[in-house]
Amino acid sequence: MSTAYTPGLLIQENTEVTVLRELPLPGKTLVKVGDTVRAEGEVLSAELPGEVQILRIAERLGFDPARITAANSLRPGDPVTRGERILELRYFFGLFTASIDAPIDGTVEFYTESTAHLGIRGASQPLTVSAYIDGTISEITEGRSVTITTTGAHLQGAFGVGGERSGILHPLACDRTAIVTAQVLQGESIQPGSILVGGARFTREALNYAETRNASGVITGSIDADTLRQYIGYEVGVSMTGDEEIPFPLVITEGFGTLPISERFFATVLKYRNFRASMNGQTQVRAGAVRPELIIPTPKTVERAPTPPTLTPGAKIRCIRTPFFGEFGVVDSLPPEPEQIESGAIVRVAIVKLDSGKTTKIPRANIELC
Amino acid sequence: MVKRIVVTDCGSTTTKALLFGKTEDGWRTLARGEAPTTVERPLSDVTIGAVNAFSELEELAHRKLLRDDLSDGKAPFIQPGDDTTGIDLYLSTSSAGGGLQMIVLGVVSSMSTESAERAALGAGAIVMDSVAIDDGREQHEHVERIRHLKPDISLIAGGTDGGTTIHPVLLAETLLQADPKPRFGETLKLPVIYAANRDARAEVETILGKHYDVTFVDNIRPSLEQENLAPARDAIHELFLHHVMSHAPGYRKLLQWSPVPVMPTPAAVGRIVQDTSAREQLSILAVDIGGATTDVFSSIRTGEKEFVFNRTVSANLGMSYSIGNVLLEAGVQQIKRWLPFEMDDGELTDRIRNKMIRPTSIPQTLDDLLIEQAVCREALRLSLIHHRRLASGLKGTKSKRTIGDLFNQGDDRGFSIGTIDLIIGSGGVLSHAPERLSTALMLLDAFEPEGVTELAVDSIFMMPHLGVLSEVEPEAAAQIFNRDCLVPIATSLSPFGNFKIGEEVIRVTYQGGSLTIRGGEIRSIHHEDEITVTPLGRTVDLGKGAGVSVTLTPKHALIVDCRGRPLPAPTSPSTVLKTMSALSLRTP
Repeated sequence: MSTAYTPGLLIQENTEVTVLRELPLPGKTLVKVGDTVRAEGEVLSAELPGEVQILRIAERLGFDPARITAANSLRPGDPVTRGERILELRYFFGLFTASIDAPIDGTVEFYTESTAHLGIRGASQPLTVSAYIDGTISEITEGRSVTITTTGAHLQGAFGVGGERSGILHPLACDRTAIVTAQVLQGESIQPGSILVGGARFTREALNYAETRNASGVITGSIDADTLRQYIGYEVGVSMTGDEEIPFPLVITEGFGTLPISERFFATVLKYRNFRASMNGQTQVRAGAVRPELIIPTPKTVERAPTPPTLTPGAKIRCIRTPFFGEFGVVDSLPPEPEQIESGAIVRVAIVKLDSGKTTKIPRANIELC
Repeated sequence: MVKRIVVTDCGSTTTKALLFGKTEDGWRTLARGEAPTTVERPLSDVTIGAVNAFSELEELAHRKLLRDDLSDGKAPFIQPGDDTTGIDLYLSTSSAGGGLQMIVLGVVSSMSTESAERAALGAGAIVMDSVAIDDGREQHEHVERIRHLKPDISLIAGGTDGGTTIHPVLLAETLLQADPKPRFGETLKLPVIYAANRDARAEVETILGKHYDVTFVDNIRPSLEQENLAPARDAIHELFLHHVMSHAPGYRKLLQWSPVPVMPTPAAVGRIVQDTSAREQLSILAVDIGGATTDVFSSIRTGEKEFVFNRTVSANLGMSYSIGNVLLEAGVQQIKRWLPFEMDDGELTDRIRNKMIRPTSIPQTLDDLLIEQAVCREALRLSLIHHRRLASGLKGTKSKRTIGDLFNQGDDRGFSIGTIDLIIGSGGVLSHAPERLSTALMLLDAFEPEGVTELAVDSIFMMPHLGVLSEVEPEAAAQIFNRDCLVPIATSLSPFGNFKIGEEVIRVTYQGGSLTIRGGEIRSIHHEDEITVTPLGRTVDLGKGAGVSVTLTPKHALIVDCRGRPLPAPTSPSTVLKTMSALSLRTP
């Protein structure tokens, strides 16, 4: 029970960041330990088995499967070439001919007599895995995975959509509490490939404008449900994202509504203006939680990772639920016994002195360490 | 003799360990410990979380359970136990990593596919998708859908024995084209259970044999009027243990700790519900509302000493991870109608979605608690609709359906809610509600029971533990279930029939007085003596027939719900407020 609190979203600088890149099936490793790689560089490759295409010959030719079976000479494993005549059937006293050509290059996977269906497996497809971050190859499992290491800043958001991208950090000039409109962005000099960071939320028009400027990503405080629906094309029901087909990933540091971007997150990004960075909107809020992230490789070398903060008096925290959602504070004390809260529940609490000056009782489940 | 038993439930997020012991008073729960489940990276070994849960149990029970040196890789606990140390038996259930996940493929949605779903769900699986040749989707859409799923097992059903082989062959072709990959074990061939027309086995083997691990079992629907779920269910359990779990991180070790196979968590809950139903001769509806899914179990009397069991899981209805999906499926207005205060739609949806991305947070304010309880009502309501659809027309395994049943499958609402004797609620929002009667109200609003129904909660979610325990020590499981697990909260009496708002519906007579309750009202009555309830209208039914009185001796609160069935939706926050006040619940 002593660890019954939320560790908090990561905001670390001068830390060692490692990223594991894996193939879904055995393949080839394209790098060696010690190689320096760029985020876009390919580090692994494999051949994905081709898809099976099924020729429904009986339906196509309009014959009984038994007649087709009698005429079929193909067996599993036989190679076929696109356009090759693979079956010919003479009918009406041999005067007419019905035939089928192979639609793709491949090999015969199966033939079923009851249906006269022929399965052809197409040629394998190449698959490559990129490095995702700028860094150095630190470990290799031959043909399966590589680990890339860098030093720099590692920051997590609360929720995101879209997959991996890399780009140049562009903190916005507007206030953390500002709603970022297209007009706000027009006042900025946005280069293609920028990762735009700032504000409380982006409007739909602002996201459209960012797309026209070929932005690589957006990180802001929050988003409203309508804008998110319009951006990804549907309502999010389950917080498992990352595969959305959208122009660039979008990450929020706080939650839904209109909430200023995390102060520490933005302050960190400000230090690294124009640095190359990698971001990923993938989110999975479940066991083995995956949070969206921003990784900023920096030149500084770090000997060892800092000790993660623990929930003790004096610890800096952030509230993650109403009525103090988004507020920061410092733990004043941690009563050992569960206490009653306003909802009537009896839970373990922390007495917190909020930055606003107010001292209040908050369930430990509703705070995260900063 | 077995005197001390530890049972763990390795859930997706938490591994919960319970220490049961034989005392002078019979079998009791002695301690409960928990630790985060460690099936995911970076630890990737379920036994680490299990040992951590044992450690917490040791601390709380003041009993040494673990051996000092665990480096030999053997079971970590001291066995056998004595008066002060160790245990005599270890058992476990598991839903870690999302539990057993399956896809089912059938020919006709309402027949073979539905039977396949019942087999999968009854075996404790989550059905990720059901594909049927007649489900309105094109074959390429089926392929596209299945391709993106990572099931543990696929189940093919369809075609009667001796009938055409075309359809099962088409299903096999669809599976081959989709080429789904197993979740665990990159080199593992995806297990496929073929429980369809036996005459197509050879062709299915030709199509799938090279790439899948195909198990052939007896046809799930050997004839139109016959359903035979047992062979498919047995095959699912077998494959779950020997293929799926042995490839999940750490499970090979965990399986060696226990003499009894690790049970899927929902299968264990189903077991204890069935046992209790048979032992107490009660029709039971049990629900477990979790963060990601809601499981509904029913064991319904179909004859003297004969019960039919069904289990469904609504995979995307839950209180944290899937709470956004409840909002999507129910709609914001359906949730809002249960709130005793006005709230802007945008504010409400933001709060619900923020719970989705901060799943471990809890309501601090009363408003926030009432929002979660409103969402819970809708999740339960939708889950019951899902459950009743699948439980429709069932006559039990290996029993024949009549021709009339076959024509009724489409719109049958399943069992009558009036047949339920006991509703058991489980899951944080129900078990940990600060006021017990608010749990009762959630169950009443969501399930709309009719007549007399007992309402209870599972105190600390120990039904999975007791389910697997009942496999080896049924008497111990029964004693602990009654003493420590089930917490009775109220008896509900819900008259139904034709009556209007404001009209006198029933008279409640008790020692020293009586009261009349009108249509639209709800009351809680606390009397330990005998209470007689008399219908005041000819059509008013208390579950024993129109106009028939009932006599009760409720051990806890009696809630008389005269709001009518089907329950009219509250028309305004003030209506909700009035209902809450009538049950003396705290209001904002």
